[in-house]
Amino acid sequence: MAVTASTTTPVCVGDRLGASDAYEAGEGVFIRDGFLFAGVVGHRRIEAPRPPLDGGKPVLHVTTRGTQPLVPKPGDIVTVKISRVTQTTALALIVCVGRQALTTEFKGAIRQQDVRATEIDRVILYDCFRPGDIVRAEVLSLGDARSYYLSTAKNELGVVYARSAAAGAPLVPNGWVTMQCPETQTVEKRKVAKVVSGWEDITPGK
Amino acid sequence: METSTSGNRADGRGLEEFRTVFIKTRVLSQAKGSAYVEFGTTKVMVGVFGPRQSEVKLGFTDRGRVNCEVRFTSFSAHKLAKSGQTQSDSSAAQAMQQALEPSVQLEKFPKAVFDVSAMVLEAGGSDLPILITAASVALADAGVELYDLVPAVQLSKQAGQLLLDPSLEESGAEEGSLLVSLMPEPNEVTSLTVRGLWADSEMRDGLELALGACGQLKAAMREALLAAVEGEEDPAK
Repeated sequence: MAVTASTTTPVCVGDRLGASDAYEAGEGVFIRDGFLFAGVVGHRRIEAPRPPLDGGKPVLHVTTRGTQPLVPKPGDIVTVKISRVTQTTALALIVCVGRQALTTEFKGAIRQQDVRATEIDRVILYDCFRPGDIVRAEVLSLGDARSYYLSTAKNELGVVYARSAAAGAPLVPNGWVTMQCPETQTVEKRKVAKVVSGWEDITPGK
Repeated sequence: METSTSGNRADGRGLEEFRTVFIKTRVLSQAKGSAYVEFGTTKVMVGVFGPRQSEVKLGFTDRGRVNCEVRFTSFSAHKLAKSGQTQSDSSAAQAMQQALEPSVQLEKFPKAVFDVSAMVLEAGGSDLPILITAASVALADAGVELYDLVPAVQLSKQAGQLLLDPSLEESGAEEGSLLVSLMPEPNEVTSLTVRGLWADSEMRDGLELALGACGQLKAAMREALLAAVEGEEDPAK
């Protein structure tokens, strides 16, 4: 439900929307020479300032209908699929950013020191991730030309879905570092994510 | 084909008149954004794909890139041409990239590449500016964050006259040409190509005509883009 008055004026790229001393720039909007301009084609929307900045200016957004082209940014929570595990890094394919699926995968890497917050030099990567695991991670930085650097060093980050090596059945989490196969009862080691319902716990504040 | 000295061209147009312009967006369902543009008989189709991760061999880039590809179909010209990339294809692609890159907010897409794939279905004259115009519309249709649209026009110089948007026959008889692509809002020219000998006054007139025509063209581009949006509801509701 819209909390604030919203105009549904369609705007095009390059349209001047307002002065920068009257509005803040939101999504799809950029500032040049003291004015706000639309950067995408969509609907112009005004949002009242949120609680921490009550006295501030209203925010101007341009919302598009479909999904906008998306690229992982530092701080984003991403869903990745592990492709290869070596002694020092786990290589992964970034499949989703937040709630949005990417059209093509981006490459990411989870380094040994970024797997968990404690005892980071004693990590055995093969006991944390296996190829094929679906992992929730946070983007640390743009990394190098080859891959983004990812981290799972928080309670809510880590393996969210894995298949058992023996039977191929989805593993059931058994604590922070183990998961169990429901069919063969074998216990496998993983860096398990503590998943609270929904995405509210990890949606980055925008 | 002669240009009549009374000011009317072979197809009945005025010197400063465009051919019939048709722009439609969202024509390719598989592409992120797309546009089909016709100027008279010239027909161009552009699709935008991406963003995808940039190739490793290009190294780390904190700015994104736009990778343009142009293909003239084998039936686009008078004679059936051989298929495969030709030199004119790659030089058109380079020119397109130069004209479009300044309009894209590349800092928003580090390490990523947008593929702009264009196909000329019929090369009826002024192909390059029409390619640039269509690609700009396709980028906007894809939701890529831009600074402005990039309309582009070509002028032909013949017998002391300046002809806007020359057809293939008119280009064949020209003494010189001028291609301008412009971002109208910040009033920045993103590419300028001049062929032939131009006197200072001719150049001034030519640029004035071209810049005005770009402004006109942007209105048509804007209309086509908004037509696609108008039909939808405000997604915020």
